[in-house]
Amino acid sequence: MTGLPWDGRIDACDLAWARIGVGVAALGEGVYATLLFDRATTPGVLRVPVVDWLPAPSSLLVLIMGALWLAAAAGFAVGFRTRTSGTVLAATMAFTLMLDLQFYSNHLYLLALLVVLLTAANAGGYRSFDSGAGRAPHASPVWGVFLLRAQVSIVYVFAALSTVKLAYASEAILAASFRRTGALAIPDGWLTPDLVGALAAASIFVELWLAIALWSPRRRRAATLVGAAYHAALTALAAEGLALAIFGLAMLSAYAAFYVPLPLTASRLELEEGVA
Amino acid sequence: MSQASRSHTRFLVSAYLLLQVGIPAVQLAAPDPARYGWQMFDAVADADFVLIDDIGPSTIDPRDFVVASRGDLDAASYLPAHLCAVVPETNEVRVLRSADTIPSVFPCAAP
Repeated sequence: MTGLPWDGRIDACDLAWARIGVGVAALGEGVYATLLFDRATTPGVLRVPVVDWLPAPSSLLVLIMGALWLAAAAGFAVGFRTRTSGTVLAATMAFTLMLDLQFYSNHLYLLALLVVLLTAANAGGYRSFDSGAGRAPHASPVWGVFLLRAQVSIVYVFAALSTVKLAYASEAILAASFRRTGALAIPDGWLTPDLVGALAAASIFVELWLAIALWSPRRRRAATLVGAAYHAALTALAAEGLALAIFGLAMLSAYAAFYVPLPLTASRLELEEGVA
Repeated sequence: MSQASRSHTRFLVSAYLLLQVGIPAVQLAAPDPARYGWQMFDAVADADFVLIDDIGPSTIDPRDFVVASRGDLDAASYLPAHLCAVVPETNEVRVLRSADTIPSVFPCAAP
């Protein structure tokens, strides 16, 4: 961790695309979460709170949570009071994760992390209401952009490793993850152990390759295309297609951090500042 | 920027990376599917729930009693006590997981 000037600041206009994409994904997730909140208020439905002292979901809480979430997500997407909307959105998501274990999902957790990182990385500096009003500085901290990149690679690496583990432990779970209804359903007869194994192996290879290739300027464009195709295929073929669409949109949006050129050394940054 | 501020930044970056690598690494050893481990595939394990009351057995759909069916939340662990509490006259709950041949029996405590 010595090669990067961690405390330096860089012009990261491409982070705006990440903010917009994550904001839109958060809006979609907010609609789904509001439905879950509403379901949780139904009498007779199980509650599994993470901590007992949190309030049980009520109609008033559903209204407040839904309104806060959707307003903050919309504000974040358009870059209106980005730091405030990002903070409110991340806090609402964190509170949701604490409220009940049934509200957890990988994409909600990922969205919460990305909102925190984008807020900290000043992703409202460009293509936003804030920049139009002259409220937001353009520069972003190097560490914020680096952590966004690292988060994408971490997700891919552990998604691949957990698929390796699952392929050995239970091929049935992998097979049951595919879509079984609708126009894109895979017929039962096609899902042979060989095909499931081959798809799992392909998914592992693609995820590990993306985790590395996105860091390479030479392979970045190819990795972006492969990543887009991969997430589109997951959305089309998996039983949880809508959830994976939100997951894919969040991941692809975060690719924007790889298009922000990071300074390699402090001396190079100083040189660039001197030239400017 | 001061030296203290630089150290603070490095500490935060290191802590974030440690957590984001450490938690999924630990979860790799946990039973599937584990939360916070970035596991993409988490099919919900099937289980049949049968309520026994004084009249006899009745099969219920567990989805009627949960917010969402999740693979990482074993309904067979959480649901029996809840069913005892919300379905009147239930004496016991029998749960047969798809992988098992003998149902697990959860007696309801007397009210």
